[in-house]
Amino acid sequence: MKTKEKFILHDHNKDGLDRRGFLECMAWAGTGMLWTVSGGLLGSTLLSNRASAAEIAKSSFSFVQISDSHIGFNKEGINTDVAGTLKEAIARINALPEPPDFILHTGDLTHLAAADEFDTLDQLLKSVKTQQIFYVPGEHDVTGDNGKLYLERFGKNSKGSGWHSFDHNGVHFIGLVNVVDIQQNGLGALGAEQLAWLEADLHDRSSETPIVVFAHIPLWSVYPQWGWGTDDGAQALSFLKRFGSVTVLNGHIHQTLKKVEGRVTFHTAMSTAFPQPEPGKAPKPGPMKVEAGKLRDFLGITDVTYTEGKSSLAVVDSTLA
Amino acid sequence: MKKIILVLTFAATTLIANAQMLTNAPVVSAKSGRALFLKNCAHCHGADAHGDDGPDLHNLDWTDEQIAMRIRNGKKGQMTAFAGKLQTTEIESIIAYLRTLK
Repeated sequence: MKTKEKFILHDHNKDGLDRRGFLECMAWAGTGMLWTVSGGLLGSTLLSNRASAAEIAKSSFSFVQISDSHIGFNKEGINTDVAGTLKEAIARINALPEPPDFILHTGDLTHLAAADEFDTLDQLLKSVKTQQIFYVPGEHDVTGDNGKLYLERFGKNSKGSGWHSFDHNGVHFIGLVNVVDIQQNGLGALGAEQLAWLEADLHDRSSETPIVVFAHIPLWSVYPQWGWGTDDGAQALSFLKRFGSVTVLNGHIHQTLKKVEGRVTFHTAMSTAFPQPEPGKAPKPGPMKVEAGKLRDFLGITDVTYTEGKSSLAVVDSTLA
Repeated sequence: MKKIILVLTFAATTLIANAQMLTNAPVVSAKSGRALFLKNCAHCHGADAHGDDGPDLHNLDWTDEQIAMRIRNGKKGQMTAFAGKLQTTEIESIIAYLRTLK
């Protein structure tokens, strides 16, 4: 799999914000990339041997992010068995040295928001060895009914269109929904009600609390020409500025992309169904055909480990190849 | 004669407006069609409707009824069936919006 690495840390004003690098500070990650965040600095190594994996296994807890399973998608030459590739992703999770405490699914569970597609996903994920699965919807999950079917099945204890938060071993997790009110320019949006909830949710928390935010569409401006960003994402990120460790996990763009800005680190996950082109590298962002036999080089899961007391997160992307 | 036509036109317009207010019936419009398109269609057809995973929707040579049928019934594995999800007037609004795409 093609791997590109590029890390940029521009903090000219010494205020923890990387303004110049906000749009350009991107790093493409490939198979087995491990990265850690500590004190606002990013470090990365290629996960090239078993020793690194063993180090991870010693940590406090881990969770796995999966994304864009698009159950119902069926296109010759791209992927005619998305349930099959999701099963392979599940097998990868079940083969981890330690079962993850939980799974985060960052949206586009289904392709057409059909009841049978939601049911198929639900059934498949019952075989994951984990305690719980948390979801946020993608735009494909809310098509036609504003997410009614999705909320009935996967958003029972959520607020509004499906946003929610929870705590786990001292880390605060926040699931946001930015797919219900797509803007004229195609960007996602959180909306005033959700932003007010987010501000209140964070208000009384210590700045030392590690925060993990997960949502479908990237919260930062990855490539607005393709709608790959969230119109009011900067406002949400402003609420997180005072926290010492913030990790933002997204899906939607079907490829790994990471960047750091101050004490906030961003990561997007691969799909389990089909890849999409790198930003601007194709006329359209839709499903990308890849060389026969190479599909699994572009699909995968993301394993995240939190080390208690160190406020650091380790993220490992693994393809299904 | 002109005066009678004007009075009748005014009366008819008022009646329609009042009926819509009383029933709170949504009005078919390309503007609301654009909003519905962004919410339900843009992720496959593109925010500019020039196509992506789904086809380009400019200069469609389908009849309104053919488009309405496709929106209602979808296409297995490729397009959501919106029957029961979108109201008739909402589908008509989307079609009105599509007709503006030249």
